[in-house]
Amino acid sequence: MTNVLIVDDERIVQELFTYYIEKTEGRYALVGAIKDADNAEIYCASGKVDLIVMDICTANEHSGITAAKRIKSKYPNIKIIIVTSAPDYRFIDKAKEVGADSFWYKEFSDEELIDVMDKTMQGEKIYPDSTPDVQIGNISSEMFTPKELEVLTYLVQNMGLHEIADRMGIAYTTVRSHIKNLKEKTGESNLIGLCYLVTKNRLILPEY
Amino acid sequence: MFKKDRSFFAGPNAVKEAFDKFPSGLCYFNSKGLLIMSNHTMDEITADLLHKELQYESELLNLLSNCCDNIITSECGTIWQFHRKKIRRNWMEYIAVDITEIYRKNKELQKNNEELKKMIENIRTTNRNIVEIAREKEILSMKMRIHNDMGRNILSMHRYYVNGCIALEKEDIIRQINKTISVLSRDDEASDEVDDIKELSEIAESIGVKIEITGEMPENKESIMLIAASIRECITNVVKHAEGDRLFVLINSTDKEHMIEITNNGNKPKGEIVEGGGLKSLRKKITEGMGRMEIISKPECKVIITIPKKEDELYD
Repeated sequence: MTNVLIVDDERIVQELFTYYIEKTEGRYALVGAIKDADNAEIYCASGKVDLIVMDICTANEHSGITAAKRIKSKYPNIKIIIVTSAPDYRFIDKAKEVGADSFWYKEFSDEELIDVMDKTMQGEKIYPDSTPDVQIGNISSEMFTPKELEVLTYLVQNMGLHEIADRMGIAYTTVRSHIKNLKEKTGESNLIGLCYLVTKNRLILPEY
Repeated sequence: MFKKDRSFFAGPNAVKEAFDKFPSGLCYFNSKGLLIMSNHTMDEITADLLHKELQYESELLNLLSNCCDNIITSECGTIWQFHRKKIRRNWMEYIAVDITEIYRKNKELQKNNEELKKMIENIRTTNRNIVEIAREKEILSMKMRIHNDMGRNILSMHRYYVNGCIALEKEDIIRQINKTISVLSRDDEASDEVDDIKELSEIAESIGVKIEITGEMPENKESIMLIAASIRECITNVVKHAEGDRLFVLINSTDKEHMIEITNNGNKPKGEIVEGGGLKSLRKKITEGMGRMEIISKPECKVIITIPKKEDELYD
């Protein structure tokens, strides 16, 4: 029997995942359902957890990915499935970087969570091929280049253009060129509107 | 080295001419407050403001006493800022500088800043709405999954009524339906507000550690979060290292700060406690919150956190 910890700040999500676990009738057992990712380590210290289903955006703006990194470094045998409903383009790579075993989209995945849990416990790494596309103004997010996405990320984090240029190691004029392309592609004429579209559609969540 | 050229050196008339043509107003009063010298610009300014010739320093002082930052607007709209300085022989020097353009731009800047503040507030409100919308979308998505499960349950019921099934299958169908209903029925229960300390206490209990809190918990969210972070770290350590099952949290508050002492009933440390990643991370949080952290190893492990009261707590 695999002991599962659910970390999600939405009660209905906790209820749903608990329901899935109960349906397995003994294959999985719930050890706890908590809202704040920072509290997950307490369970890990008790030795009672085999698998964590970890949301990214948890209570008190504590990141599930940050918590996963800490847990993986201290308890490498505990499996972690990162779950999210946000199509933030950075999340899949971030989850891989911290060593999360699998990744599941609450809204977009065709695969059932229990199936992902089964495969993860068998040692597989289940990750989506790509981030879901979202509509940003006139275009789909898949039409942005990696550099454009990077510039957008820094804009949403309130960085100035010179700072962005320094951070990316490119010229100021190149940053402006990327912004011009972004505006043309999305049909959005000003930066504030562009940042609003991006955060509204959760393509980039600056707090995480 | 230089030829003595008398024409190079300005005579008194040239000095007077330069004094008069100086674009700022300039005047001097003697130690008795009597006007000694005044240039044309100052004459024009004071005539405009006093409607008479300036003679005494007291007239100018009286004018300036009603102004903020010694700024006066003349009738023609020019804005002058007066500067006053004592020079030798106890004379007073007054300089009036035209700051019309700077003043206008400053006002414009203030207006732009006000508009910017409003925009920022609008963005903040929008962001809050975005977070709420995202949350609602997620909840809807979860409800749709439950709805899909209910659909499958109904199909199972339909198969049962059309084809029949063995008792075990019937029980399974009933169980699945009951579970789905129980998920939905809990949907209207208490809100999703996070009570950090309550969640920590429940988690600790579920792994066999009881937290005993003595003293009054602050109400400020930031203070609570720092205390929660401290308790969290101590729970982890009592489980991993001390093998205890009780955590004692003592909160004392003065006018300016909260002091929290955390001890446990586990094994006493064998030597000096060395701060690992968790305690270092906690210390960083406490320091960033302008607080202090002390770890005592003997005679027992004690973590002492001192955090300053936040502004809203100071006026309680």
